[in-house]
Formats: sequence, C-alpha cells, structure tokens
Amino acid sequence: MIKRIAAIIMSVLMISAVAFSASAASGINTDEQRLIDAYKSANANGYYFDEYTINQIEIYFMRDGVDITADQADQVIAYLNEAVSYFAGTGATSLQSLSTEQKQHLLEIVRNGAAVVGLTVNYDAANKLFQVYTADGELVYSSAVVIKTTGADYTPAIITFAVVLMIACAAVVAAKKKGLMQR
Amino acid sequence: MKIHFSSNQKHNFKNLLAYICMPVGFCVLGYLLIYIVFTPIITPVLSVSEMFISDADFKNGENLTSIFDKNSASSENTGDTVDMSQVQIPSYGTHYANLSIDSVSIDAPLYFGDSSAALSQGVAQYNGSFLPGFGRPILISGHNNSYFNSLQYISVGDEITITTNYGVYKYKVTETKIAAYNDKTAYDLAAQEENLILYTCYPFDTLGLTPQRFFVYADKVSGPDVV
Repeated sequence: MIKRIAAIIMSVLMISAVAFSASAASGINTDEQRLIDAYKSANANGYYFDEYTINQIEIYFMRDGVDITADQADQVIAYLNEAVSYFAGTGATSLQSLSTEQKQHLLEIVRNGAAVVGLTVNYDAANKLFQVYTADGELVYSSAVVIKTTGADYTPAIITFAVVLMIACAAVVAAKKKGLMQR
Repeated sequence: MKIHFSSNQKHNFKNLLAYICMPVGFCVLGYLLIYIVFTPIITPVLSVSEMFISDADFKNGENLTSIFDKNSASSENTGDTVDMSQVQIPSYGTHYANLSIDSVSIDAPLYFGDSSAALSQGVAQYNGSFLPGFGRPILISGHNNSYFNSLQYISVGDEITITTNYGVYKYKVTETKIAAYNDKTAYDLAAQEENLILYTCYPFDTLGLTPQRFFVYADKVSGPDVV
C-alpha cells in the first residue's frame, strides 16, 4: 500500500514536468529517458513504480510536442526526491496513517510540480483515484484499477420488476376485496 | 335509446377491469410514484454501493472523440516499419482503431482509455498499455453482453485484426484463461514484447457483478513496427 501510494505521487510529479499535446508521436528524448530511469531506480527504500504507472508516463512522453528539457528533468527529479524524503521521514507505513497536515504537505509538493506546466492534480476521495489533467481537461494519468468491470448488472432491473409485480398482485387482491371479481 | 348490457357482458367487463386494467394501472402509477419519490434517494445510494461492490473505473464523464480514418487504413501497410512521426498518439477517450475477429463475428471500434463511456461504444484499451506496433503489451476490454459477447466462442489459432491509421496488425490466439479480476499474474504489462490481451467479464450470462474475467492471449503475426 505504501509503495503504491508513493508510486502514484511520484508518477504525478513525473507528468507534471511536461506539457502535453495530442498529436503525432515523437519518441522519448534523452532527458525523458533520464527521468524514466530516475524513477525506475527509485525502487529503493521500499518505494516503487509499478509498470502501470511507468507505461502511462512513457506513452505520454511519446507524444509530439512533449519534449522535456534538461532543466525540467532536474526540477522533476528534485520534486521526486523531496516527496520521497518527506514520506520516508514521516515513518508512515501507509498514506492513511499520515496526519492531515502531512497529507496536505505531500499533496502540495505534487500540485506545485503540476502547476509548473499548467497541469491539475485531482484526488477523488470517493473513488480513491489520483488523476492528472491538462489545462484543456485531457486526462493524462489515472491511478484506476487495470482490470475493469465489463459485464452487465441487471440487479436494478430485477428489483424494479419485482416491485412492479408486487404492486400488480396487490391490485388483484384489492380488486377481489372490492368485489370486482365475480365467479 | 338506452344500451343494455347482459349480465354476462357486465361480468366480462368486471373481469377485464379486475384482471387487466387495475393491475396495469396500479403498476404504472406505482412505478411513477417510486420513480418520482425515491430516485433522488436511491441514485446516490446505488452510487455509493458501487464504490464497495464494483471495481469499475471512475466515471469521469469525458467526451469521446475519433481520429480513426477508415479510408486511410484501408490498404495494408506491406512495409516492415512505419515512422513514428506517422503515428498519432490518441488521447484518453479517442477512437483510434478498429478491432475485428472474423471467426467469432466481432467488429468493434477501439478506444484508447477504458472508461465506461468508451466501453459502451466499443472495445477499450487500458491507457497503461501500448499501441500496436510499439513492441509492448496491448490490453483491451469489452462488455460480455455486447461487443465481446461472442468472445466465448474464440479458439486457439483464431486471428485478431487491429486496423489503425498507420497500419494493419494481426495477432494469433495462443491461449484463453479464466482468472479473477485482481489476479495480476493474468497479464504482464512490463513485458518487452508485443502481445495482445483481451478480456471480459465471466461467466458471459451472469446477471450481476462477477469477480472473474475471461482472458484471451494472442501473439503478433504481422504489422509494421513503429520506429
């Protein structure tokens, strides 16, 4: 849990350093690769980036127009180190065990990084999702589960039908009592 | 002139009223009453319950777009490679390709990003997996009661085709498997080779939510590498 939360935070910092545009692919430049290598190697101290996070970042680095500079890479790595150090320094074993102030501080680091290039970080508490958007509202990162629900749920329809059937039976009973039904 | 009804006709009318009209009327009125009164209460309750019993993705309500050009993809790219500058990386919620499996009559638009909206309009690719031609895993899902319903009849050796604007890619099915939705051994998105993974909910005829998924694995057979 602690590893995954840290990975999410760090991945947000990674994406924060670049500007995005939906256009042709351009590949990954040397500074982008340096960034990828940096957070891949950040697996020490109990924190790690899972492949789902790394892949999303790689895909967006491939976009044409997404060309991180050496200076941006240095800034992101600095934010990354700050977040990792802060989290490690709390001694926390999970995000939930952080105090409100600690959570706020950690999120502040993430949002500061995102604001550099106009990205917005959203944490949906109800669904426990981290999402990163461009200024145009384009989703560029999500911490959503990999395997989705891809089946139909007929439960609401079944419940509705059962209720309607009960009402129909009640109507028949009422009709009998009223003497409407005669043999 | 008065119209007189026989006792038998009156009897039939009363039976019609009792057995047909009143139940139907009660049903309609009852449903309207429930809908009007309880919808504001039930809807948030169902939404909250979904957080606990569903592993569904957050419905962010994004709009779907399309960059897929059927005419552009009509001719197969016979070359072994395609330049990266010819490839447009789709944004989340974009229809960028078409997926077809002739053996089981599947022909569906393919979206990048597996939101609920995308899954309602076609089959959808997990945005943490790569595009065809990039030499990395591709993870695609579809609903078991719509676009991927006939996936249950797929066999090893069947061919899957993904048609993009920059090339046509073919994959051959090597295995099918049933696994839990949270079984991470069912897929490997860190692999450094291109393979296709399709999945949908299992069993196919279930009425409610299910924790199992039907996985289909396929290896790349042909299609230009993006360089």
